[in-house]
Amino acid sequence: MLDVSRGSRAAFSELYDQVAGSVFGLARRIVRDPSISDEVTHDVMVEVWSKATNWNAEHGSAKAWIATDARRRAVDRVRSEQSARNHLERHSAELSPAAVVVSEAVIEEDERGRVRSVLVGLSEVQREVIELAYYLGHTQQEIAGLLEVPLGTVKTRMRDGMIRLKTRMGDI
Amino acid sequence: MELHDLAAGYALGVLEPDEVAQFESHLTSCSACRTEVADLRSPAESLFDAAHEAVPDGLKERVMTSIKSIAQPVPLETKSKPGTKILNWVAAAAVVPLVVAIGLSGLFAGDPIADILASPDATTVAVVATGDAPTAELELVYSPSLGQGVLTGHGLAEAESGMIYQMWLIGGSGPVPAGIFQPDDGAQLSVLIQGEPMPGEVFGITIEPAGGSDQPTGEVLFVGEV
Repeated sequence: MLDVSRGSRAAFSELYDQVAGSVFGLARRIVRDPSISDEVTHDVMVEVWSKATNWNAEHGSAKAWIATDARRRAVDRVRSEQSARNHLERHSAELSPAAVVVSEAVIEEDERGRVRSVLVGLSEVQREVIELAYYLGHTQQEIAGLLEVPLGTVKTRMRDGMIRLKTRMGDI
Repeated sequence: MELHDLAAGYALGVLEPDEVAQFESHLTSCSACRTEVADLRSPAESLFDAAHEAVPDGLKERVMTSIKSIAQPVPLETKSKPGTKILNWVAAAAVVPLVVAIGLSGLFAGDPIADILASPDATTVAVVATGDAPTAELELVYSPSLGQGVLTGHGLAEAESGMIYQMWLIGGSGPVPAGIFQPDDGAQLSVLIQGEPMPGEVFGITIEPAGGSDQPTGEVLFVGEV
């Protein structure tokens, strides 16, 4: 990243190869439409280039910065192109009847394996909030409404799920 | 406790902007949350990696084409946070040759250096060594209509470790800092001058401790009359 911030196109090209697939995949899960996901990925990567000099290692890894930017832009696209209500209804419909089937309903067959393998070991409710927030772009507030549980419960499940992921990674 | 509950969402990058701002201000005073956020970075990254899909054909080419027309900003702030200063300056020094190449190619709309160099009223002034100064050919190009100037040239040796070149605009009220820079040893350079060079002022360059000074502490090595 430091080399990118020094204006190295070769370093940027390498960084692109490392992260663009995940930027695109994350955007596509959130916006669903491949051509909008393509645009989101383009915009994220151009922003990485133009803001590399502002990137500060104290604020976390470059990858975390890029991932957050990718999700943010994808969510903004969804919100600008349809009301949050419609989006929620669309996913609600996909999730029905029981929200616990979220991963089967929303994550397509070929995508499911990888995400599943990362989320293995989490309880259903932990996996559910992480998928809804991260891969579907919902706010914690929206998730609380969708699952009909208190906001505090959503936060606790997310935190417990993340800690369990961390613990599991440590075990490998 | 309520703010502490946002740590996982923050690490995952799923908070709303107002929550991010709230949590970041909480982070400055809560070491437990800083530790938790740091601990949860790696699972968050593994979720990002797991999202990976084949990128559409031609996207990389379009991105690489787009960045050709975007100059990275060259940070010229003399007052930056201590932690960011070194990174910014390393970046600034290295980006200088790129900016020059871009400026001269005339491809750039919106790049202040290119705009000044291409401005119809651009005026060039020699910036000359005052004595036993390092040999370098420098010019100041300024545009009265844009109210901005650029230092260009080549042959300027890199300042020794811990030191940096600083530009000054010297008018009736004394020297005013006009930006710091570190040349890529002897290479072509092009640096945007901070502040507006006014006719009658003297432009000067000194070497100062890294980070720059409020008033010149080193000898004036180069001068030019605006």
